[in-house]
Amino acid sequence: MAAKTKEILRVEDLHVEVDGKSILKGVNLTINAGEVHALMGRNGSGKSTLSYALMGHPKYTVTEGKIFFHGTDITEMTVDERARLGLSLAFQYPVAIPGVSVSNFLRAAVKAKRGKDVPVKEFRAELKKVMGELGVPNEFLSRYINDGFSGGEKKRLEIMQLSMLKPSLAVLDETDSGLDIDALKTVSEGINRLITPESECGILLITHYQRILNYVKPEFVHIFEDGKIIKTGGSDLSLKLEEQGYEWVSGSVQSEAQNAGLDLASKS
Amino acid sequence: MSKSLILNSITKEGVDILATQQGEPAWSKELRTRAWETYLKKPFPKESDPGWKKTKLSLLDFSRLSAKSFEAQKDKSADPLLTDNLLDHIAKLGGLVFSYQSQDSSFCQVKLSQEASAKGVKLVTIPQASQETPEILKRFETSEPESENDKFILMSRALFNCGGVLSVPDNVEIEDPFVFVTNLAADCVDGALFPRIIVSVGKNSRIKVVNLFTSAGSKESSQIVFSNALTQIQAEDGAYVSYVEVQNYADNVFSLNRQFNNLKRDARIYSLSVGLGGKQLRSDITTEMAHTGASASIMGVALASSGQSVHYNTIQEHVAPHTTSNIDFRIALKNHAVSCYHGNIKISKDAQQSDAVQSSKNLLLGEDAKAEAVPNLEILANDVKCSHGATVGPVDREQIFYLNSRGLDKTTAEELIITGFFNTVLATNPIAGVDAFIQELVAKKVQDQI
Ligand SMILES: Nc1ncnc2c1ncn2[C@@H]1O[C@H](COP(=O)(O)OP(=O)(O)OP(=O)(O)O)[C@@H](O)[C@H]1O
Ligand SMILES: [Mg+2]
Repeated sequence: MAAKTKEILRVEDLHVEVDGKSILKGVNLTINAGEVHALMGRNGSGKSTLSYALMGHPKYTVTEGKIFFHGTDITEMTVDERARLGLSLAFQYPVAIPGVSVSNFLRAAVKAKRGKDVPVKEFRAELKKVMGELGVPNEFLSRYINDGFSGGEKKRLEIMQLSMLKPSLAVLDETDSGLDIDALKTVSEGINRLITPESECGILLITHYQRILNYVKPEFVHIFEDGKIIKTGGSDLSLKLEEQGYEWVSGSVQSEAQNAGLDLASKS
Repeated sequence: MSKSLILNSITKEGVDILATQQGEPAWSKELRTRAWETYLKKPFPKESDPGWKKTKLSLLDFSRLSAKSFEAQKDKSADPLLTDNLLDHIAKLGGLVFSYQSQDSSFCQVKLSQEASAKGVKLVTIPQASQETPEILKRFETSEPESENDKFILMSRALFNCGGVLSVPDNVEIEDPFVFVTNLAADCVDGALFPRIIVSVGKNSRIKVVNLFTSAGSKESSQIVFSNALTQIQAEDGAYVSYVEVQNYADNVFSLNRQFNNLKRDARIYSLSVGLGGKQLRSDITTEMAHTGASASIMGVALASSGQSVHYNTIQEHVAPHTTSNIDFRIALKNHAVSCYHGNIKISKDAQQSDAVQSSKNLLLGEDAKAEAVPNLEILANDVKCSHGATVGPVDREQIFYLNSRGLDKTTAEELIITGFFNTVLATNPIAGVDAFIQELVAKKVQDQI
C-alpha cells in the first residue's frame, strides 16, 4: 500500500501514570489513513496501557504529552466522545456484563456512534452480513456480553463490534491470542475489511506473534519497551523478532543510545 | 359502587363494622375479633428491634389511619380503572380479582375463565370468601406459627378487607395466569388497606399467579396510605406454583408484605418479587419445605430511588429431608435510597440431604445509597449443602469503560448495566405474559420516569 498522507492519530511525548505509577514514558506515534502499525514488546512493557490511554480510561492519567485524533486534541476528552469520533479498542481481556445481551448492546452502540436510530431491518441485515463474514453463530446475539464465552469467541465478538461501528482508528490489543488457526484467518480478514476507502481506517495492532502479521500486513512495526517505542521498522522487523527475540533490540538500542551519549543503563 | 366506610381508626369498632358491612357469618366475625384481641396484647415492633431497624415504622400513625371497607361486585366486565396496561400484556387470564379503592368508592370484583371454572377452580373476592369458601378461610386462619405472635399479621387477620381466594383442585393444569390486582386511586389518602391473597393448590396441579399492587399516587398528598398485605400459598403434593408479585405503589404508600409459601411432598414454587414503588417497602417471605422433595426458587429484584426504603426478609425453612431452596435477590439503589436484605436459612434436625442456596447482590448507584445484607444460618442437620453469598458495591467501572468505549454515554451505560443486573433474575420468570409488563416498569424506573 502506498503511504497515505491523511493523519488519523498523532501521539506526542505521551507520559501516563496508573495509580501513581509511571508506565508510559514518552510515546511518539503517528498513524495515517489506511496504515497498519504493529506494536510488539515484552510482557509488561506498557502496550495495553497505551491502548487504554488512547481510549481515555479514567484510571490512566496523562501527565505529559498530547493525543491528536484527526488533528483534534482529544487528550481531555471522555471515553464515549472519543468512541463517537471513531476511535475504537478491541480489548485484550473484554469484561463480561451479565444481563446485557449482545444484540441490545450492539443496537445501542450503533445508535450512539451513528447519532441516530438505525431501522431494525437494516440493522439486522448489516449484522447478519458481519456475523456471516466472521463466522459468529446467531445464538451469540441473545447471550450476555462476554459472559461465558471462550477466549477466542470473545475476540471474534470484539471484531464483530468494531465491524458494526466502522471506526477510523482500531486499536487491537492481542486480538490474535486465543484464536485457533481457522479463526485467526477469518478474524484477520475481518480486520482487513475495516480498512475501506470510505473509513480511511488506521490500525494499531498489538501482538506477540508474527502469524497474524502474515494476514494483516503492517507497514510499520514498532517495538515497545519500558513505556515507549524504542525501535521502528518495516515488516521485516517482526520476522527478525520472531527469530531472535527481544534481546538483540534492547542491546542494539542500548548501544545506539550509548553511542548517542544517552544514559539508558538503568534499564533492565 | 358503594360509598366506602371510612372508620375513625384501626379499632375494634372497625373490625365490627367490617364484618357487618360485608355480611360475614358469625364464625368469621369471631375469628376477626379473636385476632383483634390478641393483636391488642402484642407490642408493636420498634425501629430499634434487630429485624425492624431498616423499616421506618415512625412513618405510620395508626391513630389516623382508617381501615377501608370493600364491597364485593360480581360479574363486572374488564375494568377501565385497571391502569398500567397490565391487561394489554396478558392476553389470556385464568382469572382476575380486582380490588379498587378511591376516597369515596371501593369494590372488589372477580372474573374467572371458562377453562378454569370448567376444571373446578374457585376464585372469589375476600368480601365473598366467608360465604363461598369458608373452609379455606378457616384452614388458613392460623396456618403459620407466626400468626399468633406477629402484630401485623394479627392486624391483617382482624381487618383484612380486599384481595381474594384462589382454590385449585387436584390434577389441574392451567397455563394462563390468575391475576390479583390491588389498585388505589390518586385521591386515596390516609387509609389503611389489608389485602389478603390465599392460593390453595391441589395435588399435582400447576398454576401461575400474578399479584400486582399499584396506585395512581398523588403529588399533592404527603399523607401515608398503609398497605398491609398477607399472601398465603399452599402447594399440595406434587403441585407447582409460579408466583410473580409486582409492587408498584406510589411514593405515599407504606407497604408491608407477608408471604407464606407452604410446600408439601415434591411440591414446587417459583416466586418472583419485583419491588419498585412505595415510600417503604417491607416484605417478609417465608417458604416452608414441609415435606420430602419440596423445592423452592425465591427470586427478587428491587429498584429504589431517593426517599425510598426497601427491606426484604427471606426465610427458607427446611423441615423435611431432601428439600431444596434457592434464593436470589438483587437490589439496586439510586441517590439516597436505603435497603436491607435479611436472609435466613433454617434447616431442622430432620432435614438431612437438604440443599439451600442464598445469594443477594446489591448495586449502589448513588453515592449516598446504603445497602445492607445480613445472612443468618440456623443449621441443625449435619448432612446438608448450604451456601450463601452477598455483595454490596457500586457499578463496576470496567463495565462502564467498556460500554463507553463503544460510544455509549455514562447515563446510557449505567442504565444498561442496571437493567442487566436485574435481567439475570427476571430471565427466570416463567410467566411469559407479564415479562414485557415488568421490563417496561423496570425500564421506566431505571430512567426515572416513575
Ligand atoms: N494499576 C496498576 N498499578 C500498578 N502497576 C500497574 C497497574 N496497571 C498496570 N500496571 C503495570 O504496568 C505495566 C504495563 O502493563 P501493560 O498491561 O500495559 O503491559 P503489556 O505490555 O500490555 O503486557 P502484556 O504483553 O503482558 O499484555 C506492567 O508492569 C503492569 O504491572
Ligand atoms: Mg497487554
